[in-house]
Amino acid sequence: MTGPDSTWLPLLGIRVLDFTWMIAGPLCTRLLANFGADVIKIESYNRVDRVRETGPHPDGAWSFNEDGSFNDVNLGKRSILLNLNEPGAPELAKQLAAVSDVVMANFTGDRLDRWQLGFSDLVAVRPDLIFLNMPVFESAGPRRRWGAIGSHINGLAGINGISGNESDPPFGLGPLYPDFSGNPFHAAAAILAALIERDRGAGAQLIEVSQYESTISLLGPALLQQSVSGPDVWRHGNHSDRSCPHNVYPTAGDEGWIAIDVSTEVQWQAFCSVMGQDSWSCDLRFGSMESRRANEALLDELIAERTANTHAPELARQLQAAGVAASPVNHLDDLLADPWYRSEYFTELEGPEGCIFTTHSEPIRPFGRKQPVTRSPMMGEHTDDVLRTLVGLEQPRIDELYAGGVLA
Amino acid sequence: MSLPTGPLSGFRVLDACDELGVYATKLLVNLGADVVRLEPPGGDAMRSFPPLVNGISQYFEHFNAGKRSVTLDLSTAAGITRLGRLVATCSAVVESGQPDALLSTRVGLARLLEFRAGLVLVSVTPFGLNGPGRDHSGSDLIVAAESGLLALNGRPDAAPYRPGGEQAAHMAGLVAANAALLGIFDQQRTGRGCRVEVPANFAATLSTTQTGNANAFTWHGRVPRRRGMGMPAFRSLFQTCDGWVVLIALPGQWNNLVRLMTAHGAESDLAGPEYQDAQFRVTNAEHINALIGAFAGRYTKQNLSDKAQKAGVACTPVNDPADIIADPFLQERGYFRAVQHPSLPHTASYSGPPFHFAQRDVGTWEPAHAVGADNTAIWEHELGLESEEQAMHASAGEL
Repeated sequence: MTGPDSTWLPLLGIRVLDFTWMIAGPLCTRLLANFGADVIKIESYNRVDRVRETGPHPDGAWSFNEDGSFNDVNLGKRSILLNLNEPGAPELAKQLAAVSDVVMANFTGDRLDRWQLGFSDLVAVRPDLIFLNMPVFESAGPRRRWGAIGSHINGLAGINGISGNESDPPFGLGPLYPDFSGNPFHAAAAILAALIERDRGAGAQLIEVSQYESTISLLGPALLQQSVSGPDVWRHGNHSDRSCPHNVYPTAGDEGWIAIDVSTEVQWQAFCSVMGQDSWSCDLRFGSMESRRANEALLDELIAERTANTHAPELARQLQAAGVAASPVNHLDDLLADPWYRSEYFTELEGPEGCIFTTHSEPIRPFGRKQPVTRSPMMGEHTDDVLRTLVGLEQPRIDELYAGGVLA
Repeated sequence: MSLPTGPLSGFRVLDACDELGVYATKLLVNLGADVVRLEPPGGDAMRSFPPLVNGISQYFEHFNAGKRSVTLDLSTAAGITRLGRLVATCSAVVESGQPDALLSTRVGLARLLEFRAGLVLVSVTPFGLNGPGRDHSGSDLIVAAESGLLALNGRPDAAPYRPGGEQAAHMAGLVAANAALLGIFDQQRTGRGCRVEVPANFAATLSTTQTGNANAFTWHGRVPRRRGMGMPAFRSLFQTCDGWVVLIALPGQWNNLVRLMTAHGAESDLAGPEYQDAQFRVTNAEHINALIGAFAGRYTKQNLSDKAQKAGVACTPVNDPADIIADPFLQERGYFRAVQHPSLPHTASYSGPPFHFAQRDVGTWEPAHAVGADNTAIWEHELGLESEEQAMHASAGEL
């Protein structure tokens, strides 16, 4: 299928009113925006999205509009200023909800209800509204005010508890993993499914994605296993119960490592041959997956001795050419230097104040093509336009709202 | 056995995924789609993935709970014909694996698309269908290494480790589910189909580039590295008397932390005015961490988290699977349900979906179906095809 001549934008015509901030919520609406949705981000100088301040910032420049993080997670959205604590502001938000298909929020507690912008308030003006809230734990109930960021949720949801080595503290994952995996993508999936159902006549939907449950859902079979066969040792370093060898081995150079995964006997023979170790291939201790697993510590040691002086990318190339799964352990700078990543994953965009941002396209490639993206909005860049066209306000009234601190 | 319920009720999805993409179809079945897993006669390889209990793969069980199963021998013309009849009733086909092993490659892309006008086809591969890594073998470990996800975990002075639970594969599946949903949304509105490609390495790289890291490199040459416990000023792991917590005083929480420690009798100088200066705290991070560590050591991880959250300090326990299964919060919300698998001695806790639709029971809490358990229902009852036996007799008659 070659696909259409123009960009694939299935969500064209869908409007999302976006109260989310930080990372997880905005990454969900980023996906929707990149596939055509009109995402309107509610912002205020009274409560600036922290991601406009966290950096990185380009040398010598500092503004809310040139933050390297904000500009990565808010592609393709519009931004309006609305200080919801000012009288009249919630009413404007409600009028925007009336012309939106989706409302998304990640406030803790009952903040939207206090502005009378809760689900029941908004359904009154938009009867088929899809409303998604993304609390850390729950929207109501005893843990509704619990605070946590991605690092907490890694630990809370068990990823730390099943990663790494038994002898180490539960370091878990370096990245704030839940913020760009389960949370945004589970939320987007629920919204898309609700939009599909709405086109068949379904009414309003109130959806909750608990960040805790969302990340627990990424543990794989561990919870079922715990429930069926009871306690186990969960942290096996880089070992696997389906492959052997299956580990990361040192290679030459600073931070030189290679990952190798041998999952069949054919691959094992090919591996021994590439490593120049025909003696391993007839060594009874390594003669089957089972025996290799039983002697894995010894095998790992032998392999590490042989890889230590090799060049990871070159050894990986040789192993892959022989049908063995292998890869150098890349860092971000390796990916930024890779021509395929540069052309098909990363994108450079000019920001609103002239700075060049490096961001990335979606890993969803319609018809095998990189999805085009457009830059993130300046703080309040679209306030006038949105209020004129979607709420029907005249410019003098908009100017009054600025002067009165409602649009601030 | 009942079909799952949810917003995708009435949509059929053919599941031709190996472990790289299988989370996508698990999500779709949890949204109510009728997901039919296509297996070769005798069952697919995932059914033998450890751990096995009474011959049942817990791995297969987790990822395929609630899906239906049919078998087809795609090396025969009859198998291809049946596939065509089934695909004609599907909104989407989701496939994953090495490019040469994909269903669309084995059957032929053009033929697969002819089976159903406007088909949504989502193809997950380790390194893409067109890139220089097309023919490279990939698994969760290898994709995690290539994408930069692996390098970020562990001690700076030791080998990095891959995230537990096969997170590179989960990211590919998460992205692929959204690709399928975008396609189905468009298909329902326009009748048009699409083929969407999801390279698993690109999905996993979202963790490496996360929020501005690429800019930090381009502008300042900074590359994120693994940090173990974290740099002193950003240390987050503390040991309690029964395990670990993640404790971070988020912006605005420093005074809450000091009040919490003082209220519970921790003798310290942290209430001093000099600590109001964030830079002073960074300079004295080791001293602060030692005091927090001593304080944390007096409590259990759950007790400390409860106290700290009440005081407005972001602190949560580091859980293992047993803690999560026992968490009363999840029990009350009905995240787990007891399910009796026919081959297991007792009921087990099956996980629910990661989303709640208010006042609806969305999701599936059914065991995975046995190999080909739905052959009769789908081929004969739903598609009106003759049984395999009848087909054999008919062709014998022709001879």
